[in-house]
Amino acid sequence: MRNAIGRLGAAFALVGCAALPSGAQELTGGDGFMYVGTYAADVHVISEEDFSVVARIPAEAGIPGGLLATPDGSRLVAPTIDYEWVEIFDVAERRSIDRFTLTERNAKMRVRAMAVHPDGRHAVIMARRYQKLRDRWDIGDMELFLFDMEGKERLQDVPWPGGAVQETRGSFGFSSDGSQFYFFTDEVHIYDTESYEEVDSWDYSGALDEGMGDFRFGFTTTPREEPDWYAGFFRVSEDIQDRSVIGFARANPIERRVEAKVLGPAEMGPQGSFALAPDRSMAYALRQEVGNYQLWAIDLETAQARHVVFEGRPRMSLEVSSNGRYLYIYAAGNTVDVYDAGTLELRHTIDLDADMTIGRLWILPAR
Amino acid sequence: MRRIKAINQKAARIEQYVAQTRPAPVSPDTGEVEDELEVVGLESGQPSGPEIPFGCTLMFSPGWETDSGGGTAGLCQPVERDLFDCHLGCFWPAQVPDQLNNAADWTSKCAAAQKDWRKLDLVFP
Repeated sequence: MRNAIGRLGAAFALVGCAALPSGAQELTGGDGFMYVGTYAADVHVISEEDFSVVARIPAEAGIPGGLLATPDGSRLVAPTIDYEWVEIFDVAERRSIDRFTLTERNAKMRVRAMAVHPDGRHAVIMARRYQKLRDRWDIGDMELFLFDMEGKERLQDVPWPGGAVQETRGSFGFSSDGSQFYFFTDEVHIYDTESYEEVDSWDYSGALDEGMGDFRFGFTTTPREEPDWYAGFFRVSEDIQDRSVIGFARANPIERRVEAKVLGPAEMGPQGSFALAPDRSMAYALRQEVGNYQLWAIDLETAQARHVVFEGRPRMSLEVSSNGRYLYIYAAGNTVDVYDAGTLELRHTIDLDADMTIGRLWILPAR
Repeated sequence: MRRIKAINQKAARIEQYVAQTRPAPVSPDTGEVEDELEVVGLESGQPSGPEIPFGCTLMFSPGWETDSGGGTAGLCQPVERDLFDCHLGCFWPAQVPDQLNNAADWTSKCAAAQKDWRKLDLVFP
């Protein structure tokens, strides 16, 4: 995949919904399972085979918030929605196996972000301390530290990238072999996980073709990507026509490579909820505006995109089924809508007994 | 015009602290010291006037009704659809209890708001 600014004019193939024949296609998303945290204080397990809820894993620490899957997919790690506990679920046994809190007497510690090391035992946690004093609460700075989830022990502080304390929720993660830790800001700050000292940084702002301006990228976790690759949308300002354009990119902090393609003008294209098909040939995305909800399908080889306008709702998220045939639109409420990935038409609605909490719906293989 | 008056020692100390750390506003036209502005919600930096905050429970303003764009068209439809996340990232045309500090269990009898919102706890301050 190469940069393709020259294709800007032809990039959006706004052909509406190019109805691919779905025939009598069986309504099954594959043989995986969906996992989503709910306000019933459990994790719902939904079979992709027939879209039924096959298990509800009770949480013991509280209502699970955003789920994180460990890199090997064997466990789910979930900070609770009050940010004070972190609960660990075993995927194969479908039960809660451990939990910890950093809150102490008169000092709440709220976990705002975390990344789990590939060893499944350690995590880097970003948290803020709220100390109750005699007449007030003292709100501390955000803290970044390495934590042993089995020993339930704070091992060491992790220096802030560039020495600057981050006051908002940050984005960070580990390399697939666990040897490096990345903190994503306008640069990628690279830490060695032996010492958790910042050893290098990667200024990727000039990674695009000359004339496209600074490249800014979210480095959002992309489950279907190759190890150490992140995929998603980016926006750049195109000076010649004085407009903002949107494209998709893959970035690899280890190889320091960026592969990008421009899709078209940002004001009419997809906005977010980028989700990859299992074979990485297609990506899907949403545009969410009041009265204007769009579902997009993007061919990643040709950078051609098509979309349908559909009856959406505020705050949706998107994922692709294990077999790539269906799209799951979830979040905000108690339903998962199943759309045909070819026709982009609604095929089924999965009705849950509980509202989903904020966070990702994970699809993991049967274990 | 001052609309809030300190009535206990802690509030008086806050007034004293603010008076010491924040200089009185000076008119750019006349250079004279102006009356203090009324309380500004979620103030940050040097506002040119009252800043309009968005959201519901963060506002300390019962009845505040707005979506993330300042209107009402983007509110969740039906309103129960995203009721539980109002205190985090979404907006609803009413106050929902403070789930973080004071009413952690207000959703405990109602897992699916659209189905059984009548079971929600009422929380009185």
